[in-house]
Amino acid sequence: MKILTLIKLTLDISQLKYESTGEPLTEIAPKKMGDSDKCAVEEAVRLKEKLGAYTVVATIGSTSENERIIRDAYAMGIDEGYIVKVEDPEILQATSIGKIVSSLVEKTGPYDLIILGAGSLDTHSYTLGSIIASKLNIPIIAGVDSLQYVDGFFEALCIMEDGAYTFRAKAPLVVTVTTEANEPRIPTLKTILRSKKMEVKTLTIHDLGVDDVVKVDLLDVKRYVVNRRKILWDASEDLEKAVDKFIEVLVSEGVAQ
Amino acid sequence: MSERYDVIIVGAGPAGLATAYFLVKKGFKVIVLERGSEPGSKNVFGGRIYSYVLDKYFSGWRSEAPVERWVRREKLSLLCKNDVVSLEYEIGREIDGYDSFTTFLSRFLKWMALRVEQEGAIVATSVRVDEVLFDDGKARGVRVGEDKLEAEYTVIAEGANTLLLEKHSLRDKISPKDITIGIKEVIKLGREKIEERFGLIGEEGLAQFLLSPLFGGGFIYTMKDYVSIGVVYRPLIKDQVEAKDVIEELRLHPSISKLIGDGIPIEYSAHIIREAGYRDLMSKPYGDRYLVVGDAAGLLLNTGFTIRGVDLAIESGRLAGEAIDRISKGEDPSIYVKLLRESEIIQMLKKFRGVPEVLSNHKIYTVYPEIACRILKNMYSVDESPITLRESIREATGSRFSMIKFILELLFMVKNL
Amino acid sequence: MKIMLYGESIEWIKQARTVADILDGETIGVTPSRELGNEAVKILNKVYVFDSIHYEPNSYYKTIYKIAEEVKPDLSIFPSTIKGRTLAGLYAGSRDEPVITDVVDLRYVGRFLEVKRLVYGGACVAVLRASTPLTICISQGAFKPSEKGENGKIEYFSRVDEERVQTIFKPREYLGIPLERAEVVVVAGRGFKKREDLEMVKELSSRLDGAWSVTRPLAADYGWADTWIGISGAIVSPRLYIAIGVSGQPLHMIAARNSKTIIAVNKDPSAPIFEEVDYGIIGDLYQVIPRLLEKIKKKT
Ligand SMILES: Cc1cc2nc3c(=O)[nH]c(=O)nc-3n(C[C@H](O)[C@H](O)[C@H](O)COP(=O)(O)OP(=O)(O)OC[C@H]3O[C@@H](n4cnc5c(N)ncnc54)[C@H](O)[C@@H]3O)c2cc1C
Ligand SMILES: Cc1cc2nc3c(=O)[nH]c(=O)nc-3n(C[C@H](O)[C@H](O)[C@H](O)COP(=O)(O)OP(=O)(O)OC[C@H]3O[C@@H](n4cnc5c(N)ncnc54)[C@H](O)[C@@H]3O)c2cc1C
Repeated sequence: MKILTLIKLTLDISQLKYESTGEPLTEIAPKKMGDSDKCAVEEAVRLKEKLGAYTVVATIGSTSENERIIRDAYAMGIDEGYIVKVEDPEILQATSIGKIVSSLVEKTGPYDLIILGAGSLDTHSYTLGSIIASKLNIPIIAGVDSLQYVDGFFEALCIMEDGAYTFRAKAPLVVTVTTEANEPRIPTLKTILRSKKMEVKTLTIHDLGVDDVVKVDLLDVKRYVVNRRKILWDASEDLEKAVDKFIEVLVSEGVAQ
Repeated sequence: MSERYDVIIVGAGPAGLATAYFLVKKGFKVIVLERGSEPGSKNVFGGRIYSYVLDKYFSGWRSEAPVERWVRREKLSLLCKNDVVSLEYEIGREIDGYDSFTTFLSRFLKWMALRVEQEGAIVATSVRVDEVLFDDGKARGVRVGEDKLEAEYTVIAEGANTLLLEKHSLRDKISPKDITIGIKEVIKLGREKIEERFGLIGEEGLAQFLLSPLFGGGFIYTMKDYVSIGVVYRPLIKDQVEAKDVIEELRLHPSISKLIGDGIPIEYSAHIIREAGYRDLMSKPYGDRYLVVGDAAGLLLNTGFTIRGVDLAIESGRLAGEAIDRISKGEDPSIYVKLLRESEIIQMLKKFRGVPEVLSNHKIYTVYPEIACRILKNMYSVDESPITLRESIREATGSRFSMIKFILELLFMVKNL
Repeated sequence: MKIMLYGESIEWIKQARTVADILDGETIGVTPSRELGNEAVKILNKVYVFDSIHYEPNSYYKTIYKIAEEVKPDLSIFPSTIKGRTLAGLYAGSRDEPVITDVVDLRYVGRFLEVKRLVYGGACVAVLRASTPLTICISQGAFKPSEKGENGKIEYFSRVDEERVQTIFKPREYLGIPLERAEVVVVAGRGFKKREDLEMVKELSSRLDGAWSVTRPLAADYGWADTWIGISGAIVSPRLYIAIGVSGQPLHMIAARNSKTIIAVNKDPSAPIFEEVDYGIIGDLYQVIPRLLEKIKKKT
């Protein structure tokens, strides 16, 4: 079995700061491997340990931090890694990223399983896995909370708005996992040292035979501001007054008498 | 583990990376272990590094290293409640380049780590060393979680928070009276505003020291788009304010807030440093098969306004490298201390020996700025009867105050910063 | 302009219809439910219904794709739910057209569409320029429901089956009012110390004829509830949203922002949620909520 894991360098949005005009200071925000991508790596490594799968990881980007997250994946147990050099992958259309990945699959595959995080925290689109599946014309199971391999089938549990779905499918398959899927391992010194020595291969989009990438025509990004009344009462000063005010609101909203 | 290294270095700060750099150049097989996810992700630093150490050892650094601005303007300001007295020195254009520059330590260390890796050492991140392995007092390597890693020599470069050294009783716990906290904030202001408000052109930078009864000593460094401000906070002196409020005091001072008040704070950090200065130098920063470098060994200058240690850390790394080389050829480990003693850094630390005492002299923070402001206020305020300098001094101090002594004391503080 | 929309609920379809009103387009609906189809024809020009027992993305998108080959839409709209996003990606990928999720507003500017979408977990809004054909996902509550009616036609379409994937479905047991439809939603966050303390929330919600839920850590980490509200859980747009012991992280708030009125109780005056409330009570929930319940009880 051969598995491809896709990982992305994402902003730590909990640490995002803003310009006074509301523009996010993305260049100084800390970046890391996406949380759900890390779970995808963990899932791949577990399949390697259980079934002896060969695991490959890939990321798209052009900074030294991209290399760092590949090595982080090596330290978790991945066997081989690629960086596809693209400047500012953030502003590429998801469909272009899909094209790049499907060419990568053709060049380095075939793979039985392509696994990635369900959604990156920064743009949180949840669409990349689907785009790849459609380009490769193989099925997808998206938003997986628990993945098993039973009798030649991948069996995935997905908890959704209306209930629990269990999907079963044979390879080849695309799977996107949520952060519920597992608890990613913390690398040991031994595996970190190993990861430092492994080769990280780089490819350009031309190596992959892709030459028409489409950029998103981004006009503006600003902090989301909500205009709400923001009327506050301090209950630690006057509990009775605060509770009475609370009830007044309930009454004026028509939900209490 | 099968892997064996000649030297394990704990900590990828300037001291650890410098030690690695000099050792690997001498042909040692070196690994640096850093607990942060990247070199520089855990270090607190104000913003200025002195060029001389880099000139000596890192050829080509001026074009490669991530310099923000070259310090051309040095300023000392005494801040009173509303008024300010400043003394400014503008360095004439240097022929061999400027003496110091501002930078972000995280970027600077990434660059150093790259140089170190290019030479062939390994810098492994997200690795926290839990203990140094000792065999009868002889260091054999380190333990990281379940794993052990062995080496001929271990270098402890863990910085000012000396948990490992304390764990192995190689260093006393810091005593509360010696605690100083370095606090700094990075504010985004934008290149144009910085150049306009601080009077800078192109790559020129400003380094400003501040002295005030409101917060003690402090600093301002200009980066390209950012301004780094900080205070060196001594809880014992300023017990009336909380550590986190101290930097607010600085930021909100009228003379400072007009410069940076509309900026966006993007980073806040604080770090404990040992106050004691020369007194706190480790008396024996070495032992059987191990050495201690940088802040961990107490090689750190606290000038009262700023903290300075990167150049000392790099220099101590070089000396540690040389010492290990000589020890491996049969010399006694005490050679490390001998090299340190002969070096400029110990000379420098000696010179600042009295600073902690001067600093505990509250006058510096509480009285001098007030006096200076009053003297100049009297001199410059216009009313019916003009006032002489002598009269103004007398009026301000109400006593036989020596202007000369005042200036000398101030200069003593600022000297060599 | 032809606008095709794949809907799972009538509320969402009404909101998607508003997009068609803005762009002055013809509306063609697609739905896997006859029941929903019968309702949708009253507000759309045409509705394709394909029969399905339950959701499976690979067969669904192939069906929707085939319908689109007939319809030739300029704009295709899906819900911003996990299912909707998955389908939108498959659909747009196979049609090789751009897909933009989390859309909160759009309009024509010259020949182009200017699309506003949420990014960074709902902390920011990005404005993009796009041209058709295009696929977008819109969040429930992002647009006001359209008032317009139509007398559309229904067409039954046979489903394309994807044999490669088998599905077993276990519907969630809904206790009380479904969150998505509740007028009042009371949400508990990590300010609650014990599972039993959630009884206060349940009582408050039942007294207000509403539904209750939690933030993700309470459900996913502590197992105190099955679902949660947030970008990875349910999205709600009630008349009144009451958050108790919730800090107000964007990943949670994104799903509550369309509430008409938001009230929060939090003991930390600097909690980010107070930036997003109409009314806020700064105080210990263990004092405020019991007292509130007492007073409400006394009144009724
Ligand atoms: C507020 C402030 C402002 C300052 N401003 C300046 C300035 O402007 N100019 C200047 O020259 N100096 C300045 N300094 C001092 C300077 O930052 C230090 O002197 C310098 O960083 C010391 O280098 P070091 O390598 O000894 O220690 P550090 O830089 O502290 O590095 C130690 C490293 O070891 C790692 N580490 C610790 N324990 C372990 C472990 N168990 N396992 C693995 N890794 C570990 C840490 O994560 C860290 O990366 C300032 C300090 C402060 C607090
Ligand atoms: C990929 C991803 C997806 C996510 N999706 C979601 C999602 O869909 N939904 C979601 O909710 N989260 C989601 N999260 C998590 C989210 O980022 C926050 O961690 C979470 O919303 C915080 O929940 P909380 O407000 O209950 O807890 P906290 O942030 O811990 O806040 C607890 C609050 O309670 C207050 N408090 C404590 N004690 C009291 C008291 N006695 N009285 C009054 N107030 C008190 C505190 O002041 C604090 O503000 C996601 C995270 C990731 C990484």
